[in-house]
Amino acid sequence: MSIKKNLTEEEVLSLIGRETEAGFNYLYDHYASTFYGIVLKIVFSEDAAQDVLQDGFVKIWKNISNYERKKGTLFTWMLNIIRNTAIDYTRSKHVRNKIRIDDEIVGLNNQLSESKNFDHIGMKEVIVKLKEEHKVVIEALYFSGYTQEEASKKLNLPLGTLKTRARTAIMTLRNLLKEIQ
Amino acid sequence: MDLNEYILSGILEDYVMGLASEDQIAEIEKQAELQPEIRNEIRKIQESLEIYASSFKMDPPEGLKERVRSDLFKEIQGTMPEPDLTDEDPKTRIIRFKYTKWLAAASVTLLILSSILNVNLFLKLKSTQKQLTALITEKEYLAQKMKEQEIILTKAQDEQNFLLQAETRSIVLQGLPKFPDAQATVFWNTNSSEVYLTINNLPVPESGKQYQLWAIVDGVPVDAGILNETKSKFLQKMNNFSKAQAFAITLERKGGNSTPTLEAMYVMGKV
Repeated sequence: MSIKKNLTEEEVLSLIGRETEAGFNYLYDHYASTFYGIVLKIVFSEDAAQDVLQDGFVKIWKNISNYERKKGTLFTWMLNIIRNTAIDYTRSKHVRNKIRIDDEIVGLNNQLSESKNFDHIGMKEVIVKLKEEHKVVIEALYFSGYTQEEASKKLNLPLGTLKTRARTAIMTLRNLLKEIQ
Repeated sequence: MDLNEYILSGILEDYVMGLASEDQIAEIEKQAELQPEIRNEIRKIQESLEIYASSFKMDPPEGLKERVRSDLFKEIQGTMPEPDLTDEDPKTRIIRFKYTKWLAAASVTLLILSSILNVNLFLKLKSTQKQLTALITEKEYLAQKMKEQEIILTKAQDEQNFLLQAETRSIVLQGLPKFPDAQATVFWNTNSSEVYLTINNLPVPESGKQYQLWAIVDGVPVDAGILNETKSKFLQKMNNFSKAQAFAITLERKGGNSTPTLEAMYVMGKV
């Protein structure tokens, strides 16, 4: 996947900010497969996922100057753009009838074992160790971009429980990651 | 609130997961700006999720990178968008739509008009063909009539020539006491010996009977011919006589007699 070694956020920003081919290459090589995997979970179609990814990359490229480092990581900022593009796509009229079903969360988990690019050492163990109830909450809120009301309804959890689970899920995830680092 | 307490409260997890309220978001962003520890904590939460996200990795199809690249650099450099026929401005589209609509309406109208014209022309053709047939018939009739007229004219001219000849004499045959209204005229050319007869007034003969002209030559009635028609426009040519003193008409049996029936003599005239 990423041929080049990981750059720091500043280096990435500087590359993209100069609007060079090198910047694009790094951006695409480094993030395309992760975003593609996430987008697929939202739009359920490879053709649509490619369109969304294309649109998303263009938006990222054009709006990179709006990124504020103090508000979070570059990845989170980019993921937001990609995710919103995917959600906009599912809400556009030609796919309105294809309702995002609960199965997508199950599908997301199935995806993990199928993933071709499990290059993060120990990541599989971490995810496996994470409780199912924590995984579904993270994936619904962070990767599929449901609002808390939507997630509460989809997962059939009261808002309070949803919040508690989300916090516990992140703390567990961070602890598991500390173990392998 | 103590910084550690704040971090451990779970509010930052809420923030990253999109579970914080508007007020909380504003407060957290303000705190993050002021305190690097909070900023750091938020990033650590996000980074953990980022690692999680990498587990979703799926290679997109190979062509996609090129697609995105060309799209991206076209977007950046292409300050002057290429004229795109599909991306015309709405005004043009409306005009074009109106134009197309108008064109469609016009062609339908033309089709209807053309159809009407065709039917009209077809009917006209039929009618013209009929008229032509009538005219041809009329022409043939007139030609025939003209031929007849020519014949009549020739005949009339011949009669005129004959009558105008100095040698042609007219002999009026008057009705006898039994038939006072009866009358006929004989034209006799003493030079050519030709004899013509016209009926001025004779009753229509009963069936099986015909009028017969007699020439009285030296006191003897000689057959001068049978009258085929009692009402002819033309003079009827009778037998030639070079010599005669009188002419008379009798009603005889069909085909004529060798001697006249004197009781049935209608008219007589002396030369």
